[in-house]
Amino acid sequence: MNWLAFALLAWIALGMQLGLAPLLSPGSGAVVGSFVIPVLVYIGLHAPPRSAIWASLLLGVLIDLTTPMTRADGGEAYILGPYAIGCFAAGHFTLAARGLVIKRNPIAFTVLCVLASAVAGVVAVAFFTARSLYPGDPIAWTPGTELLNRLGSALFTSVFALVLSLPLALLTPFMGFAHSGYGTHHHASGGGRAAARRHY
Amino acid sequence: MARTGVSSPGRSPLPWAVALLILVALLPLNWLGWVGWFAGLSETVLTPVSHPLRAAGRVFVPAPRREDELDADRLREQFEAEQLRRQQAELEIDRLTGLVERLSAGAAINTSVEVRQWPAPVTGAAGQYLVVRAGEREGVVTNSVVTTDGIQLLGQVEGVDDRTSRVLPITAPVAGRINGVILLDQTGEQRVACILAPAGDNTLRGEFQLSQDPITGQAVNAVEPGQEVRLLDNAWPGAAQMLLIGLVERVEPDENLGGLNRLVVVRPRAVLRQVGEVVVRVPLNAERSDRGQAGEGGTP
Repeated sequence: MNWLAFALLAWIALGMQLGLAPLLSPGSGAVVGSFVIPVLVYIGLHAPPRSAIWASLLLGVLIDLTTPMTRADGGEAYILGPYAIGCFAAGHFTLAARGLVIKRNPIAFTVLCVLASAVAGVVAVAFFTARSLYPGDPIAWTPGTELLNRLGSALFTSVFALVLSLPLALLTPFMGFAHSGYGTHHHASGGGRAAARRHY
Repeated sequence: MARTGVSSPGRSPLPWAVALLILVALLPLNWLGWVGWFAGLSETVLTPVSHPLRAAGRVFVPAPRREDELDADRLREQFEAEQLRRQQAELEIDRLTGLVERLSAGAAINTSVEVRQWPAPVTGAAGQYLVVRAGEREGVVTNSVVTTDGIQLLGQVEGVDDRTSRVLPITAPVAGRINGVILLDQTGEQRVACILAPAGDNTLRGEFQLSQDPITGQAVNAVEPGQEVRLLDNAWPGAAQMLLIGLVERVEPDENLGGLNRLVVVRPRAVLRQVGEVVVRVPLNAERSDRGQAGEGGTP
């Protein structure tokens, strides 16, 4: 995988996450769609497993670094790890599922994004909930509400995933994926690519 | 489910990275202060993308008003309304304080005549008359005396109906001549009588005679600009006596009569045609004397 291209893509996706996602949030702003998870799933669907996992982990770290948690006293705090591990799990989930889906199918891509987002959200909520058990933990945290918000965000991510599926598909030649054909990376031979071309 | 193909722990730093992140994720918050520095760095790196996108997004998707912003707006509006109410109350207090002072001053003049002072706004003009929103309902009668501020004489009510009355200012061209006295000192013991007529420019002009030094027989010109001229005219109701006609503006020699006669120009303290509020002095005994019936010393 071309890591420079990945860095550029991650930079743009995180910029969109910070700049656009809050504006497009429905309701009170508790449910926020993700521009980063579609990139994670896109990388997970196309990149070699090791690169995909590292990319997932990096994207998760960046989400942690750009998502402040609200303290009970009104301040903000950054906690490194919950979303990194959540995205790590989502990356694994994508790798496990990519053999079962048609990679370039926007619907499959969208469904994978919703599920991956839910996985990442659930793991992150689990970490934050575990942290909230510490006596005197200053983070304002209500697990049930947060879990519902994360699952709602996962559903809302489907909108972004559907919109991003086409531009991401167009970026594939520039990403330097060793295996960008139909099926799993084990079948990424010329025959696999030919099969993919025949499919679309 | 297919194998993901991630390398084994022994050959990759990935498991160590994951383990480290799990450990960090569970650290107490006061051990994670250093993360803020990396967060700031991330924000700095991402700002070139996020800021233009946010600015562009704001064009198409205006930010929804948050509940606390709405509360703040409501509180701001309440604060501004209360501030306006307070300023209006202060103005009203100032106005009423001034009114009390004027009425007190007016009541102090000629205390032998019992009058009720009725503040009333001027609603307009009808020819040379001012229309005042106070009429028979308020006890106003024809010939009621009207002042601007309790002391300064404005004129007399010439016509009255149920709710309004028409007042003829003393400076109106059709107003007749009035007798006054120029107070030569603060106590008012030394006076010079004068007869004044409206000059048409919000002043009154009239003649007076210089006093004479009893020893030398020379004229003593004691009348100077700034001295008060008060009404002392039996043609006017008792409630009007000693009210202020104006201040001496200048003294001129009377070329027609010569000798000790002089002309005095008196200017009221206000432009009588332009006052916004007046005080009607309503006699408590419903005095209805006409100017012509006033008796001795009336206006010739």
